[in-house]
Amino acid sequence: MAEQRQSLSVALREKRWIWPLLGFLVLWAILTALTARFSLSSLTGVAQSAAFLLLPALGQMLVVTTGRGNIDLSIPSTVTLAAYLTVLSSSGSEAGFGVTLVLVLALGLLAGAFNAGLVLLLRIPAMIATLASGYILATATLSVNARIGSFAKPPLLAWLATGRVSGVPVMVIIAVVATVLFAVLLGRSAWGRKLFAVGQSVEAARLAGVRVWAVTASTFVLSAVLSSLTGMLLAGYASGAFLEMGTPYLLQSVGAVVLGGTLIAGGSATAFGTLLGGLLLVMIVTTMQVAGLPPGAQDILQGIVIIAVLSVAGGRMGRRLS
Amino acid sequence: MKIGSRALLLILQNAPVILFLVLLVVFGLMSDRFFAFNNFRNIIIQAAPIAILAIGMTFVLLTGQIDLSVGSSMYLTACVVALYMPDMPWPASLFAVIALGALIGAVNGFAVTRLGIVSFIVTLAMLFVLRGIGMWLSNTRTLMFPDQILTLNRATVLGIPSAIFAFLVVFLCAWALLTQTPFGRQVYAVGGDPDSARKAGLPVSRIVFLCFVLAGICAGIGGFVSITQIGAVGPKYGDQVEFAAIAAAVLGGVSLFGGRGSVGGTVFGAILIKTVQNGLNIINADPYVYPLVTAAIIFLAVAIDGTRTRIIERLERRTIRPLQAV
Repeated sequence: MAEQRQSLSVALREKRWIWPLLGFLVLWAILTALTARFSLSSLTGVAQSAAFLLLPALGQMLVVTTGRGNIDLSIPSTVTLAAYLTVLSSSGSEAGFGVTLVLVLALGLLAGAFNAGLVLLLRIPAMIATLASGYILATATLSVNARIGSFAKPPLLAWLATGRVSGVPVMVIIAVVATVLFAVLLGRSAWGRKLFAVGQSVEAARLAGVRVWAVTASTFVLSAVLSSLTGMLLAGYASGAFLEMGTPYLLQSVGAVVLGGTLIAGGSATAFGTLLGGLLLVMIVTTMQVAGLPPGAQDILQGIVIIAVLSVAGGRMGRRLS
Repeated sequence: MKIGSRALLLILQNAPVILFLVLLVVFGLMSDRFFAFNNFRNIIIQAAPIAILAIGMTFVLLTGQIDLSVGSSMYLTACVVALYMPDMPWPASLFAVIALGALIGAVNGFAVTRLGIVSFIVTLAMLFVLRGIGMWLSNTRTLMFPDQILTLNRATVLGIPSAIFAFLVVFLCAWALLTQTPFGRQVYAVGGDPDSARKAGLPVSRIVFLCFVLAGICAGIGGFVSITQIGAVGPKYGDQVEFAAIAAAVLGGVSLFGGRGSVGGTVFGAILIKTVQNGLNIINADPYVYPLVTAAIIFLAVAIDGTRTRIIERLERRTIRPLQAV
């Protein structure tokens, strides 16, 4: 019995994604019990919104896992600029979509490489570097804002962003596939082990022969690429682009990572946790919309949830660090 | 090696001053309106809110922490003044702004020191929370300020415009606190090496907490000076101001790694940033150039900080036998 309890507590510590899953289920139960307006179809809506959040959240998770206060604050600007690029470059044909995809990927690679260069070559703290590069990307968006016209949506993009396969949104399938992919990469690949090693101790990783800069740079590039793909898909979903498009993804990507049980100090990450954390966060936002709370309330609650989760998890993190 | 490092260090430490002089010459050559006394007075008046914010930020940066929530604090305190104190005399509003700023700083400080959450996450979350509260209270409307606050903009104290006077008062208080009191030395000690400070018996948590409170107070005062200048506040007010405040401090030589810098430097940094904006304005630069130039200056400042920190670490590295003074 005592052994069982111990293994349960170990499981809870190891599988931190259990907490957001529990939170999600509890919230779902409460919502279903309290309001008739909440149904299975609104759950599909929650899943769809969470799916759009997932890609930037996975990117944020990778960056945060490298430790030393690394974070990607340029995600919202990358998402928005990618959406603008998508709208501007689309001609409505499948061949044109190829061009769009190349442009969007190039944006992600460039933005990610730029962030990595600032952090690794110029040794600028990631927080400041990505804040400033986000500022530059936002300016680029402003300068093309006037040129935006009608959006000839490529059929393939429309299917990816809004289509359904036997009732399940394609985006949700993309999100689940991406989660499994990154779970495997983190847990089973050499790159994943190296990433954890860098996050736990840069010095130890370096002595063990890990090319710390390459691992760190890869996370910034992946984060930017995932964000720019999200921008493209969002443009397909919203049938257009607008300046505030990426704004929610800053706080929410951090929130999904934190709620999912990834350590903010680095060295430990869980892709399934990030998926569930994003789901829980979107569920909270939906709950508030159902409750009809005023503007601003979403941001208040999301911020408080992040601080609350970290204050509960803080003790564990502190011990890890010492 | 050592002499080379020291020379490089000297250049790096004075790079912002050199940049400032170059800018003065460039803008002066491009426009004859730049070198007018009135223009310089305007630059300082415009720089006052950011400078006050950046002075508060200096305390937080000196302890090796960061406060990303100051722009939202400005917005929230401005909302409270506009919504709930329309008929109060301005000193009451100023007092309210200081008290609310201190409260916000205390929440940040509490989360960082007692809950043990890293400051950039706490204050990033607070950035959204505070703006959310302001948007909730104001219903995202643009708020107008009463006349007793707006007239402050034209008021003078001893012949000094009120914004500059407020800026001087905050600067002198912060300077005295940092350089003339035990608290100031403790701030540097904590930022330089928190472990040694703790071993020396300093109340590290309390010092960090107080620095966040000071940053909150400065955000309130800076916001108040700013609303006397602009008169109305929309939901985007104070957006990305934390960026300018951090940039001003770092340009002035405050290290993002803690323990190094001064309020004098910060004030210089704030004036440098406003000089750039003023100069771009006077030479009719493309508005899209502004953020690019600002970002470039920030990259420069922070890259200098990173290089400088590495050089200083190299110079201070312990050797088995003490080196002769170079």
